[in-house]
Amino acid sequence: MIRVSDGKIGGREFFAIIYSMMAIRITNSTPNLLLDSGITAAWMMPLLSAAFLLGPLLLLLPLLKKHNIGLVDLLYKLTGNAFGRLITLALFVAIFSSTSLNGRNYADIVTTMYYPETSVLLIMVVLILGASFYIAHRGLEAVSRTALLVVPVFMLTSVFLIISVASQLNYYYVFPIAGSGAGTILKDSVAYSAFYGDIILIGILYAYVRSHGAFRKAALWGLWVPAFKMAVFLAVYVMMFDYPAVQNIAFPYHHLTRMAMIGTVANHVEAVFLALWFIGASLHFAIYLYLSAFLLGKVINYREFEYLILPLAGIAVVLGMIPDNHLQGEQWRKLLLEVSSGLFLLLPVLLWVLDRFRKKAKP
Amino acid sequence: MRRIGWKLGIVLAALFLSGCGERLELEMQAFVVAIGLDKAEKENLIEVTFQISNPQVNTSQAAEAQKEPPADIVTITAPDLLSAKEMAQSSLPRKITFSHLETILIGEELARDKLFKHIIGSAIIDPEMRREAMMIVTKEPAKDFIKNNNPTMETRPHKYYEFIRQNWKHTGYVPLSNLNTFYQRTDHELFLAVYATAQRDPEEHENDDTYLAGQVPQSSGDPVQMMGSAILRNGQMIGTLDGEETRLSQLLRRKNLIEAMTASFPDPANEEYRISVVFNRSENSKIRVNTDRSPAKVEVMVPMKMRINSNLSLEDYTRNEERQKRLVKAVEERLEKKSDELVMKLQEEYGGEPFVWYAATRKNFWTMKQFEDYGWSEHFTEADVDIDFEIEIESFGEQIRPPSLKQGGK
Amino acid sequence: MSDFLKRLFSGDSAEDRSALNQVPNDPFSDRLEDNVKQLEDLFLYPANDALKSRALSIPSINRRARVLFIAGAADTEKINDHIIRPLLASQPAEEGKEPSVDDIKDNTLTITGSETIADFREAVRRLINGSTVILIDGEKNAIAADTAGFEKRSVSEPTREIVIKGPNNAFVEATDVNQSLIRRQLKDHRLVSETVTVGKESPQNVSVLYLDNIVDKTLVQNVKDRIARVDKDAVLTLSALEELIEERPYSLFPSIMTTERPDRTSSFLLEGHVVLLMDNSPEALIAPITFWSLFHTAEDQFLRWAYGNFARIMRLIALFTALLVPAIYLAVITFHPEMIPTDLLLAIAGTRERVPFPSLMELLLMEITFEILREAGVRVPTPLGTTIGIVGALILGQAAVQANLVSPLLVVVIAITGLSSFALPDLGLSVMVRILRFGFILAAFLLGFIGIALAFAALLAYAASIKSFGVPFFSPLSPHMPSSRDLFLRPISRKQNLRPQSLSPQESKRTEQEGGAGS
Repeated sequence: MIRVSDGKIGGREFFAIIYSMMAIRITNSTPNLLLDSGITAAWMMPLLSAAFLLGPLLLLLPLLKKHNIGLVDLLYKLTGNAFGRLITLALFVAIFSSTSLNGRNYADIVTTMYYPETSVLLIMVVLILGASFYIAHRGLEAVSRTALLVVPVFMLTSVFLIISVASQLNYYYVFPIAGSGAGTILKDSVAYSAFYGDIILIGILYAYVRSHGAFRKAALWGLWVPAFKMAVFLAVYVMMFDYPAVQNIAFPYHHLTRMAMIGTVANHVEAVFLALWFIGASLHFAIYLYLSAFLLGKVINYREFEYLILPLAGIAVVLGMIPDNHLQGEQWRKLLLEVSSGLFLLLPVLLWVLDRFRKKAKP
Repeated sequence: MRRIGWKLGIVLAALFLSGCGERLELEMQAFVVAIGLDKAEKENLIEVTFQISNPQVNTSQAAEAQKEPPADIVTITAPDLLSAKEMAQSSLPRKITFSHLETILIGEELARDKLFKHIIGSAIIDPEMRREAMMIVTKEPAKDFIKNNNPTMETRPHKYYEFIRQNWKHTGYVPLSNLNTFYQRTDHELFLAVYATAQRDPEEHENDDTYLAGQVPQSSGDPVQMMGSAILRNGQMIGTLDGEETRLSQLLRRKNLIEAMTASFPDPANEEYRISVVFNRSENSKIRVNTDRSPAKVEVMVPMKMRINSNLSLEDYTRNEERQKRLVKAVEERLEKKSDELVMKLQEEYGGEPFVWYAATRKNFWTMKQFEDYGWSEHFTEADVDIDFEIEIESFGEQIRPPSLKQGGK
Repeated sequence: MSDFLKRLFSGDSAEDRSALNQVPNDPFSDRLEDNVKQLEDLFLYPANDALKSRALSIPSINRRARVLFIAGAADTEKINDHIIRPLLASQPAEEGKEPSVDDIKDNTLTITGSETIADFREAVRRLINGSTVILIDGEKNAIAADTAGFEKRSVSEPTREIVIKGPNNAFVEATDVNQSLIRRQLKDHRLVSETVTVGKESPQNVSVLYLDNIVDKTLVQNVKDRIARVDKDAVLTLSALEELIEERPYSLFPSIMTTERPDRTSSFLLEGHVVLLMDNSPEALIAPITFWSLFHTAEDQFLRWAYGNFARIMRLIALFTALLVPAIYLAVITFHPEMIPTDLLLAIAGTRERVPFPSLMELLLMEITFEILREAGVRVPTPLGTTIGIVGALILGQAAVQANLVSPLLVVVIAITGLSSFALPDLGLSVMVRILRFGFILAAFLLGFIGIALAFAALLAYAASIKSFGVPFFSPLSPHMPSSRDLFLRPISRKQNLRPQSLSPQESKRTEQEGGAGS
């Protein structure tokens, strides 16, 4: 029977995967980076970053369709074995280090905002070695189905959160409209476009998706929906806290949930948002762990890459414990972002050029 | 995978059982409902007063403890809030927590001191401190205010603050001030905080709202009065506004926060008497700031709806359109005059505005840097301000015309 | 011993090893006495008096014959009226035109469902299933006539899946009655009923029902294989079979469910599920199930759209309440006191001051007491038992509060939780939720809301990953498939016209709309 056992992922599930990879960034310290550079115009930057990535994505899509293989195999095919392996390794380093750094970031948020007397290590372990490892170990199909179950809930809660703070917002605060100036915004949008670089990276799962149409649709929606959500939330942060206070708040999402009130019925509901956010976080890291293991498996030619998930989760926890505090990690994150932005923006272009070149060389 | 799972399970269990420091039973915590901050005698020290709710008074029948006070009040002298919290632990067996803290009271003396902005600025670093906590400036030291505030009906202090906060929305005598708005306006903008006192010093005015806290002629009941506002600039108190000025300053904002308020005016039809009206907010005020010219020009248009609920002169307004127009005009003129006076006072004495006009001004600039270079607060002191109230009469109360007592008396 | 070893190493399938196959597969001889003797030996006559026989002589062929049947399995009236009487009343035939065994079977017996058989194994199989075997002297063939007449009760009302509106009959212990109940609902010539046997010592027939035009053939094959692999001496009821063909016997999540309602079974058939029926079991086994099968009740479809959906929303709330509320209570009390409104917080703190136990102990004490009361309530012989149990729990709770053992709010929490778990329609779902609840309490105790969140994420991932006969647990919601969208809520009947694609049916649009029972 059972069409389901084909192990393929449908368009909606794939969108849910992309969404849980990207949209949750609004809750960690990503907004701080954007607000620092964009000030009141920070909300434009996600949209611009997404627009910058749209080009490479549109280059990549026909390539994937033509060769009908995943991004990694495409790399190997077009750039040759050695060079392809090198780029795959670079992708692995980018994604795995961001798993580890982000994991630390999330644990820091918990210990700063909610559980000041709990150790960062405990949170890291239960999050990454506990729930995320378990979810990733159930396989890609399970991850995608879980994502599809929870993503609509996350979307609804986002809307709900905005409604519950709406009365405290002042839309005048987003002015001056250009914030730190058009030049800075454009430049930093490119530098931070790696926030959406996942959309290129997700090409490695191409072979697992049911059809090209499903992949394209999910990738396009998966690019603009999280970007739009991020833009809305950045605008809300500014409207809520106003410049310059908004730049001083370490984790604006969590302050926003504290300000949320459901009429006069309940006004301290942040723990509910905490729980939902943590479900999202465990899913987010599950996907990252799975992709890391997948890429590492390709690099070292190890077919049963699922066995790599556990050691990788352990290493992620250990690496995440290296920075003394979250601000130290922040510098590394910024560096990582800028480097991987370049990688994600240029990779599809490189592949496209190579493809053209080969086509010409062949006949 | 299954074999690995077992080992992993053991590791996880060990970690779990090593415990998480957060867990704390409810009865082992002391819930602070209000803190008072005062200047201590020694330089750079503050007195922190914690008002801690007693869970065994007036909460549930099963827990009722007779003869205990509803709240415990502890005052500690310390360099800052966090260390005071820790030092209070020396006498309290339960762990102090701010998770239900909704009110921060600040003695006027401390608010006027330079130390204040450091105290309040560092307080928010503590994640237990919530940005929606309301901020009240008290005329006397905050610890006296807390001690003297003994409302008869709301014996539990959190209920008192909760109800009174709801009440403010309908009077507008005090601004709605929480920590979040305070941190928004730490620069040259003026921030208005609730002004309150528990000391009576009654004065009698003809206008019903030109009082400051403590001046309201009230002879019995709880001594606490909350009226007017304290003006803070750069995190330091520089003056006060009375009830009427506070109301106006809220009306002149883009988003009017007062749901309804009652005010009285001299009756244009019969100057001897006053007429009381209820104002309802209808829509947002329109604010236009012109920064291209010098001095800058601010145009404000405040739309309001008015109900006539008390008419001492017993003049018939309902069927006389001429009189209605005169009334509207008189009210508008009076409000505009008062507003102009308020703006003048702010421009000359305080050099800033509490109306969030700076946000409207930001619209005129392309980048934040340009706006900061422009220096709105300096330009405001010289700006031409043009305030225009637009009032509609919504209803005349439940009588078609006043009772005919007047004619009968003749 | 050698037999055993041979069997062990040759790895024969269950079928070859069953007790029936130890009966010699010998053909009948043409001597009546030998045949009767052989059969009597097989049935351990005379120690065992179950085998009844009647000797007679058939006038039409003028030969002796024996009519054999098993007391209790066959209907003696049927044998008298439709076998013995016609045989005795047959007219002597002319010389040379004597009827053959087949002629007697077709033209003399007035009973349907007769066949000629030729060996002892078949004869024994027929006899234990209630057939009558007619042995005729001088013939190597015998006639087996279907005279099954096991005692059965009449169709009655369902006791577990009660509806207020809708059909009110339930399956009984007889397969043929159950089949007729289904066929009355589902008048379709493509409704297939295959029979397979299970149990090697005492074989039982299991009917596999499916709609040939809708069901996926591999699913049917999968189910039949699973039944064939059952290696048990005797499988007496469907409930025993259920556990034997389950994929994950240790899992808390059921992958098969039973229903006692023919209408519900029919609607499952219409959705492309496979249904198993078995004698002695007043229920039907539905083979692949999803979360929705457990969550829905028959009544959802009988009630009007708004009423049915309202019931479903309440049930969803009950599901989450039963699963999470004690854990949330514990997390809020010990980790997140800011969530409770100040008045309530002070009330709880005030009452807790006099309670000697930590919150976890308090909660477990009440939870376990409630579970014991529920278990005891089932054993109380009247239907009032459960009610007494709940009331008992409340009274006990009140006493516990007065004795300062627990705080009053906790009793409310436990009562709401217990009530919610009664609102869950499926027994499997309800028990699963009750067990999982303790896991969540532990998670909440360890890490508050974060613990609950992580446990919930893991639970969700597990539930999403499991499959029942290849069908994902949450399909067609996740993975998303085109479906009739009859999930958390149901659309109006007119719009429910797609079959769940996850069962990969052959016809995707429903062509008929009959028997619209819940699933």
